[in-house]
Amino acid sequence: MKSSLGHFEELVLLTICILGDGAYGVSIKKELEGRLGKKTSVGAMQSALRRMEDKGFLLSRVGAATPERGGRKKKYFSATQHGINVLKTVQELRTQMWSAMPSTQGS
Amino acid sequence: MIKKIANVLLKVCCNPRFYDDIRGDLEEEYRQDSSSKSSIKEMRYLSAVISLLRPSLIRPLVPNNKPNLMFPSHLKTAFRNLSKHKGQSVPILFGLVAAFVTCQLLFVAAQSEYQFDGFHKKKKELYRINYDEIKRGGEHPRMLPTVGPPTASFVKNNFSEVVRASTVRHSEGRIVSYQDKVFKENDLFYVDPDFLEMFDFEFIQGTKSGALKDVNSIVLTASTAKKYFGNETGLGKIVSLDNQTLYTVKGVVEDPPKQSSLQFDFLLPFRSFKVPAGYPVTLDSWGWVSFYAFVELKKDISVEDFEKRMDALIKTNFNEERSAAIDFTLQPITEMYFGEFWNGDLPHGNKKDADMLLLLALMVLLIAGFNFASLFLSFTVGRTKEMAIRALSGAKLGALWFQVVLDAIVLAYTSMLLATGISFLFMEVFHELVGWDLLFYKSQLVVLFLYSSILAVLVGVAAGIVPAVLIVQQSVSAALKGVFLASKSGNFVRRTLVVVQFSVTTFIIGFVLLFNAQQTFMTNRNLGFNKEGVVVMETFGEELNAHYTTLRHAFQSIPGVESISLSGESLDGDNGSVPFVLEGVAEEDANPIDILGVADGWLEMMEVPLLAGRYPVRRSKYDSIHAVVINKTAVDALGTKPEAILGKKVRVGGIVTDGIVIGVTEDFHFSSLHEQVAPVAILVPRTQVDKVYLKFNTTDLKSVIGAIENNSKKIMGGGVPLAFTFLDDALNKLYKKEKQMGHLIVAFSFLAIALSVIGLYGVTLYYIQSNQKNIGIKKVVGAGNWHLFLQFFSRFYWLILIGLVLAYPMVHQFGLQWLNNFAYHIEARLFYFFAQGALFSFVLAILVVALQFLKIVALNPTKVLVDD
Repeated sequence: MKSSLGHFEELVLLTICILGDGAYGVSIKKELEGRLGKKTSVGAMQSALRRMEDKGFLLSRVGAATPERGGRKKKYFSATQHGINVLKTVQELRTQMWSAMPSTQGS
Repeated sequence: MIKKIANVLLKVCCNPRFYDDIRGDLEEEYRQDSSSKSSIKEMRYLSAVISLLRPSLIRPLVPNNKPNLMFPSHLKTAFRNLSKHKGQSVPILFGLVAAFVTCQLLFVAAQSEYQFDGFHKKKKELYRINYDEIKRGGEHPRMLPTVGPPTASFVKNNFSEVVRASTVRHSEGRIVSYQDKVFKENDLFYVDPDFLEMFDFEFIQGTKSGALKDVNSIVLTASTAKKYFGNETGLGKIVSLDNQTLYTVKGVVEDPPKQSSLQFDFLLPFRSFKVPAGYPVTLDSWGWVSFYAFVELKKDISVEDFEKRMDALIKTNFNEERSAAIDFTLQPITEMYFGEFWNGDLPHGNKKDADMLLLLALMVLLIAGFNFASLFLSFTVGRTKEMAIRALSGAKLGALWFQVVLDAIVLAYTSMLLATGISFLFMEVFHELVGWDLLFYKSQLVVLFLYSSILAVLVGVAAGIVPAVLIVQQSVSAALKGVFLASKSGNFVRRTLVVVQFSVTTFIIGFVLLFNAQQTFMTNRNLGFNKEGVVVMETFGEELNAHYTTLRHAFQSIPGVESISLSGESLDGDNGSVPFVLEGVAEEDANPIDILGVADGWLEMMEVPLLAGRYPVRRSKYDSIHAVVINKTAVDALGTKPEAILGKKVRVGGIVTDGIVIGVTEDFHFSSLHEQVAPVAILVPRTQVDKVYLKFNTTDLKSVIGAIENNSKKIMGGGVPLAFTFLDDALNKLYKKEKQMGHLIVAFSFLAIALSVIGLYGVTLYYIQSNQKNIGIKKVVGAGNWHLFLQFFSRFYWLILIGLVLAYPMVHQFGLQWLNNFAYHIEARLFYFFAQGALFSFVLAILVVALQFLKIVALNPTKVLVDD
């Protein structure tokens, strides 16, 4: 399995973990935009979702159709164990590197 | 519309695995978008869709889902091919760019006609009530866009289907003043408060609600506000109307776009409209058919059914005989512009003209497309070896095919992008040349770009398919040997094209020459009067009549002023016409005659020669009651002689009831040269005279006009508007349409020349390429250049000659038709113009062929023959 995780992908994956059961296209985009404080493009996000699904970081399931979607079904995403592991690895790596920094450059 | 296009784009491009989900997300966001303007929402939707067009999301090009590694390589090779063969790709590009620019120009011009009044959000609910008179035989003698003043409010009060309604009264010739700024205004619209809610005229200052609630409120357009208040805010300013009523400015709106039927400078509450003094009607007169009535209907009602009931109810206000002879009909506001109900007041257009523009655009693209295909074929044929090597090294046939088509698409698309850039950069120039509306152009940019993109891809595919198929059919070994492929049907198409192009070029050049000759003829024609040094000062009629004697006196003492007189007309043909009843002739048999109201001295000033009798005399009581001067055409129409008609009693409409013919003048052009000189009666008794004619004998116009202005202000007071025009300029305006057309024709002639040169270039190029060996062998066995040239030229000259000959009937037919627009035109020696056009085209063709022949001269036989 691939384990490389891009910066934007990382953000999207984290957002999905935060949202839990309610993570689908629109809600992820909104949450992410709220946290980043700026607009993201639909294209960038959708493409990150599909790439991560291919890499096995994400699982998707089909939800209920709602009228405001023009009768189309929602696709909910959740992080796989593999995805969470990769996230943790990235986090650990960063912590290690921060602590390896000479103290003059810290804070 | 934009959303639909975006959806199609998404459906086509998006990977079907993700399509449903992504589409749902987009839909949900679109509905949550809180922007007020649906166009902004749709644009956002489109930009979201465009942002989705990325490698990981688009539909795989090869259905088996393997990533297509060849695609980037193809694209790269396409660009490399093109830049390597600049000598060929540049002309290909140039022709297509020219065609796309023209196409876009024509498309926008056509759209600006089709979309007239289309900028109102409620365009589908807004209707105008029309007045349709029907005679027993089924004739429609009067089809008016106006109805009686009570109609709009009557319909609103009696039908729940009518949400809003507004009467609109167009008022002209009013004096508006603010401090020292005084102007005569011709576009004041009296409207009901609903008007602002129905139509979209955006407020820059003030707000829509309540802007016209008070009787004394007024709304100005941006440019009008600037005219009166400069850069100050208009709100709260008080302007005076006719020096009688004061109005407070409650709002400033954007100028109505050019595509609006309602072209106003001021909006006033209809409540403040007063019936002008002397009109025998009131605002309750249903028969005073001079008011527009607009209604906004509820959505989803049956308009036909409503129209019937409305018609029936309005008719209850008329007596039986009248109501049987009229119908009240509804017309969607978007159909007003091309519609049959017209009164000369609102802008009006001809749908056929707009259709013609689109057709022309398509034709230009078609011809340029053929050229492109023909040149592209030559271009690809030169690359057969490369293709063969690709095939040998294992490329699938499909991939080769794809490469060729992609080359064509890249070329076509690049041309389109260049063309869009050019038309964008030069839109101001186009604006000047053909009256292109900049704002409208900008609003059409997205549509323009989408359509152009689709067309560019189509052109690319169409041009790419022929060489692609040929190449795929070609056997690899033959290609490697350098055997060229030839297609008979392709040759036929190209030859036909050369013929068509050269006949069109000849036609256009002939026509340009004809056009110029007629133009020169018109500028040099003796108009029958002397317009040199004449300046017309337009002012307010009443004031002018009250102070004329004093003014005349004051003006006469200004050095440089030769003579002074008055007239009601500006020699643009906008004259009234009344019956001319000669003594002893029955009223019914009287012919209509145009009237020209002037003061004494006017005919002398304009140097209109007299055939018999005398000019009217100043301060003659007799003349001011009886004097009638007619022109020669009027005398001819009566079938008599100038001397014989002098002293005859005559009645001219209701203006001169006890007239005597005192003089007969030579004919002069009191209307444009499009029209035959009509019978005219020149009357001294004042009709509506509001123009002072001044003849100057000095070149220092500035100081003379300054002195005149000062004197007028001193005598008439500062509250009277003054506008000066040179008669020369005013007359030139009558030929504005010809001028614009002249620019268009010149532009088209350049295009036609460019296209035919490129077409011929393509054909000759193909010939040289496919006959290289033939020529090489001839050279080796000792053929001279002259011999080779003749042989080369003989293959093309007959195509050109056929083209030239075919142009003659076109020049003849269209030339005659066009010349007939003018009552006075040059002799129709059309063969002469045709011959000049033909000569030009022929020289042009020889030049192209000769230039191509240089390639043959430079051809080294050893190089082409070494292949075998």
